Amino acid sequence: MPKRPPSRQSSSKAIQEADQSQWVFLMNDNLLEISGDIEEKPVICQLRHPKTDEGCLYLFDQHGKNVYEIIKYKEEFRSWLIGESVQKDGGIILTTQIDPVFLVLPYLIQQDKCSKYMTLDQIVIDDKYTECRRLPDCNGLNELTQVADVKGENDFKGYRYNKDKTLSWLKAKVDNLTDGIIEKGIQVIKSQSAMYVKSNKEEKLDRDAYVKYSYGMISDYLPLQISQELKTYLGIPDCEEKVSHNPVEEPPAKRVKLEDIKPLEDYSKQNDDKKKPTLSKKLSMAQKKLEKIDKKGMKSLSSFFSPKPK
Amino acid sequence: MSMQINTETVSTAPEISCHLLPCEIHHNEEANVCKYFETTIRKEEDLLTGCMHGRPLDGEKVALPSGYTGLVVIESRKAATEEEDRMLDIKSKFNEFTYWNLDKPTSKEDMVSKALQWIDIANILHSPINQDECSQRSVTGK
Repeated sequence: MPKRPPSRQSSSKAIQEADQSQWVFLMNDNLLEISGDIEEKPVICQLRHPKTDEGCLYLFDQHGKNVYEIIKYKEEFRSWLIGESVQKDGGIILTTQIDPVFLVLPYLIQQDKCSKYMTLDQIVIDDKYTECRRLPDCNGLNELTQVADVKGENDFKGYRYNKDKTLSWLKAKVDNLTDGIIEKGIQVIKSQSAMYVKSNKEEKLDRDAYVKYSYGMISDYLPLQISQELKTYLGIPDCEEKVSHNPVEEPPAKRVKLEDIKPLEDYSKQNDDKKKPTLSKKLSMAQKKLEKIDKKGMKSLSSFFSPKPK
Repeated sequence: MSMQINTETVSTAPEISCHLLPCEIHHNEEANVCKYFETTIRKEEDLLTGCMHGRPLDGEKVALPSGYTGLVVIESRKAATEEEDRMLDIKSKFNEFTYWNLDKPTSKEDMVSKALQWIDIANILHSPINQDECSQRSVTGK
């Protein structure tokens, strides 16, 4: 079997992944503060992504109190010139803080099935991504009161998932983000060119479009089920409605076409015409003579064998 | 498996000039950047132009947002086993860099602008929601 030649990008990518030993980071300065203890360093490790359920890289700060997301921005054809050298990988790795509640939420929802109050150490357990044991120490988790019912005192707190609380917390997140992107004048519709956005018309884009955009961003941190629930909660219409319109409209269009358009030349009829002359050609001279005979009063041969009418 | 970043050396790491090129160079070694690339850069008002293998480039100098430092990070020694922790060291740092487009003026649509914009968005998205607005503001640093 002939081998399909690998495309240039994918083959080079493979080499890059194996050989690469240098990266460009844009690092949050909080991660660069030197703590008193030399042993305390920022640590990159794999955690379960709340939306995709797959392993993703996250960064814990030197004190283990904050989590950062690691996001790589990379275009296809980019390389770095760094000082007097070339780095083939033209990616930029960003480290931005992530609300640890998003990372704990899937575990909390999962434990909800037994509807018992449990401590964080009992809730955040993962056989595959064991580094999640670092999560319960994070500062941001005092916010868990916004997504769960809490029982107990400082050191021994039990949590239980609360869907209503979670949805109103998420709505607050969406509102907050919507205000933020309107304030910063961040472009919402991707297909617009930068020139187009400058017109006054577009600046007055109604708030609904921004809410939908913010919802989209936040749902990137949510398990599918809760993101669907949030959609309903926010009253965002399903996109599927629009999609379903098209198939409904299309059949009539097809029918009209069938009625109007007929084949310019109907070959099926032509074939019938052609069959007759070819048949007559095959008739022998004797048969032709027979055809000329006056057939009046003659019965067809088959009539002699059919039952006689009584 | 986890990866530690050795941040001790950040204060002593040298500042370095960085260019993000609109092409892929299959090379991870030394290059005469000063001699053959930086000499082609021309500046007219705020517009930067350069040249790479005869192709015209349009560039923009980008200052990193406050609170962020650019780092060139290396893994000097690969871990021998999967279980062993990996260690990343800081080789050099930067507070601004230049990104180049191939014969196309830089704009807000470029990946670099979008990446920097994400920092602002992430700050809002991931800051805690508090009933008390004042404390919320202080957390986001706005």
